[in-house]
Formats: sequence, structure tokens, C-alpha cells
Amino acid sequence: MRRLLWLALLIPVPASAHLVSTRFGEFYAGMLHPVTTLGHLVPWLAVGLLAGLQHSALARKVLLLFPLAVLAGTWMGSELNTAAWVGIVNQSSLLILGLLVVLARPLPPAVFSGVVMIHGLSHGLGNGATDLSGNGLLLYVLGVTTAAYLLVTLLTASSHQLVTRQSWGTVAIRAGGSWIAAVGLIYLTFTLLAAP
Amino acid sequence: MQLGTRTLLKVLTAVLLLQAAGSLWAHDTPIALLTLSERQQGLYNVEWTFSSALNLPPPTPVFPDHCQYDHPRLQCGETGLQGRLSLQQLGERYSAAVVQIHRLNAKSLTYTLTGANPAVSITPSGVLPWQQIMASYVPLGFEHIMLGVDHLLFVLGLMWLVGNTWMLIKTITAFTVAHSITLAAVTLGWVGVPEQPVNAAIALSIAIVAVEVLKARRGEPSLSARMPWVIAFGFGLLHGFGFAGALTDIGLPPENLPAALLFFNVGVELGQIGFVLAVLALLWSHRALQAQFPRWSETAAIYAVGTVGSFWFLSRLDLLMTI
Repeated sequence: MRRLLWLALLIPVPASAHLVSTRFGEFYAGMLHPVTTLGHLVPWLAVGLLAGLQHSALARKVLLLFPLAVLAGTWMGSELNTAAWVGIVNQSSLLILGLLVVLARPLPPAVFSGVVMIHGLSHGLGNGATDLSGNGLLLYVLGVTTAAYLLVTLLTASSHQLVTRQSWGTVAIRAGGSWIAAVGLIYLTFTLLAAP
Repeated sequence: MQLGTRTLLKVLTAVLLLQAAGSLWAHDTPIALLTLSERQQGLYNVEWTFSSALNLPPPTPVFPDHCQYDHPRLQCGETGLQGRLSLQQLGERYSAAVVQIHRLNAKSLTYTLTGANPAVSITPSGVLPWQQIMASYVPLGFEHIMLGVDHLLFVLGLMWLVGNTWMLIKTITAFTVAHSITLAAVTLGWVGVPEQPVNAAIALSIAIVAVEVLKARRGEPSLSARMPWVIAFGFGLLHGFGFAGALTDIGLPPENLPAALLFFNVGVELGQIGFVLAVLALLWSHRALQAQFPRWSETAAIYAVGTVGSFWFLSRLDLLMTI
């Protein structure tokens, strides 16, 4: 039962921009939305772990690519009705990113960039706030983008340091990836079983 | 800070500036005032005073069970107004609400409720447990600094100015001590400073720090580069007046004044420390990944900070002149 409750926390909820006390403004509402939704938070952490496993030049790319993809996605998700495939991609991202972390292989730059951008875009779309406009929307989108930048930068640097400085670093990160992949598999199975 | 690691400050600056662009007067802390005036024994008149940029209605009050509320009348009978009072939707609409209770044969009571602490237990003495004061005022202080883009930009400018970790600790400590002094002095009524000139001077302090950062980068001699804690202390006194303005707007219960002041300041410090630690963590991350931006962008970011500070200064000065 307890595990099911944890799994329920992974379900991404539509961004109403009122998840947390909105007195902190739309910028902070945007920052807190992905951070307080495990369905967004965990895959973002996986992006950081995956980037940390790549060589420095490629790892640095994620600092720019991921926030930009999230920015574009959140903006589009706020302006348009989110397509059904976005939910499926977001739900699958736990499994896909988790498995890529488990494999711990250096990826070709094009593949790595593609993976980062697709997931950034789809999670950005999932974070769209259709009830906002004007300055409120601008601040909200910037908030989500800032959260993406902060999380991915910290995680990429930490995991990269772990991999390059500790002999057990790669093993630890692969273990983390296996947990993410396992949770993703269970979550996806539940979702598919629940589908009509 | 090393030049290579400073590059991150440019990103942070851009985010803060963009946030500031959305609301130049983001320092507003909307407060609603609920006044309960006793007309006869146990019979109160209920009145809301509120203003909100978003035209939001005031929160919904829920009075103790034995009271009957039919706006604007509140009948609490012989027991009087005692027990639990809560305000629904408070955090969504307002930062805080001040509840003033004017009683016929007893001294008036003042309570401050927030989104994090939307209920209060009214007692005849009006004295609150410190936990309740902490739950109200720490979030208010935290909120004030996190919404205060001008304070954060100033702290960011200070971080840009300092040369090493020890100097950073001294500088941030000097800023903290200074703004705590003026915050306490104003709220305890020892000094009084008009709010609008203070806000204009705070904006000017951002522009001055930006100029000092540029001078330091060019290698020009300046006191602020050698002893940034001096500039931090001097302008910290000024920023304390700004914090005090917000605290005075919120209202301080006389019965709980020292604790309320202390916890508001604790909230401000927690927000400030969180911001500084977040910047340091990001600096470390960029250094670890050897991620650097073009050198020209650093100069552009400093100019942007100075421009925003100057713009705010002139806008606030203009506001001051038109009154």
C-alpha cells in the first residue's frame, strides 16, 4: 500500500500554477511545480546522472540544451493543448533514462543531444500552465526553466565528479539508474493496465 | 571570486533581471486587515480593509463555534470572542492578514496570520506561544527576501565583489548585522525613516555596487574591492530600513513584539543564506564542468545590473517628487 502511495506521487499533475502558495508569485510557482511533482523531478535527475556519465564537453551541453528545451516546451504547453503522446513520453522517460544510466555508455553527441532535447521538450509540455497569460506566463515559464537549469547543473556536476574522482562512482550512479528504471517499469505497467 | 567561476553569476543575473522585469515593484507584500470592534458585551462589528493588485477578495473568516457570524455582525454571547479563529484561502490571496480585536473593557489584541499559519487561538491575555509567532513570522521574512529582487541583486553584487570565501563570509555577515540593527531600531520605534526615499536609496545601492564591481575588474583602486564588508555594512543599514517598512506594514502585536521581530529576521536570514548557498553550489558546478561563458557577457551582465538599479532609482525618485 505504501509503495502504491509512492507511485501515485509520480503521476504528473496539470500545472495549475497554484500548487504551492502562490503569494510567492508565478516565478516561484513555476520553479516549484516540477520540483514537487516526482513524475517530473525523477526523470530530470536521471538526465543529470546520464550527463554526468558522459565526457566533460558533452556533459556541458546539457546545461544549455535541457533548459532551452524545457523553456520551449513549457511555452508551447501553455499556449497549446497538450497532445496525448506527451503523457506517454513523460511516463516512459523514467524507464528510458533509467536504462540509459544503467548502461553507463558514452553516447554519440547527436544521440545524447536528441535524448536530452526530446525529454526536455516533453516535460516542458507537461509543465505548461494554460490558465496564465502575459507577464504571469512569462514568469512561470522562466521559473520552470530555472528549476530545470538548477537541477540539471547540480546533478550533472555532482555525478561527473563522482564518476571521475571515485572508483565506485560509476557503480553508484548505475545503481541509482536501476532504481529509476525499476520504478519506471512498474509505473508504466500500472498505467498500461489501467488504460481502458 | 575567480573569473572563470564568476561566469555563472551572469546566468543568475539574467534570471533575476528577467524576474524583475515582470514586476518592477515586486516587493509588495499584500496584507488584509480584519478589525473586530466590540459594540456591546460579546457583540462585534466585523470590518475588512484590504487592497490587492489582483483585486482579490479578502480571506473567509471562520470564527469559534459558539460565535454566530452574519456580516458585519458577530455575536459571541457571554463567553466573548475566545477560541480558534482561522482565515480560509489566506495564502492564495494575501501574504498575511492582521486581525485587530478592540474590546470594550480590556486592552486591544493584534494577531498576524499567514498562509503557513492561517489560524490563531484567541485568549483573554493575547499572549501567543512562541511556536505560533515563529510559524507566522519566519515565512513572512523568508517571503519578503525571496520576492525582494532588489535585495537579492544587491547580495549578488556583493558576491561578485568579494575575492575569496573568508571575505564572502565577512561581507555577508556585515550585511546581516547591519540590516538587523536598522530593522530592530525602526520596529522598536527608536528611529523613523520615510519608506519612499529608502526604496530609492536601495535601488541606488545596486547601481553603486555594479560600478564598484566594474572598477574592481579594471584593477582600479577602490575601498569596496579591498574591504567589501564596509560597503556591505553601510548599505546593509539602508536595506534594513526597507525590511522594516515591510514589517511595519504587516503589523506587530505589542504583546509579542520581540519574538515577532526576531522570527521575521530569522526568516530573512534563512532566505538570504539559501540564496547565497544556491549561488555557491552553482559556482562549484560550473567550475567542476569547466563551463564558461564568453568574457564579454560578464561585462554586459554587470552593466545590466547597474542599469536596472539606476532605472529603479530614477523611477522611485520620480515617484517621490510627484508626491
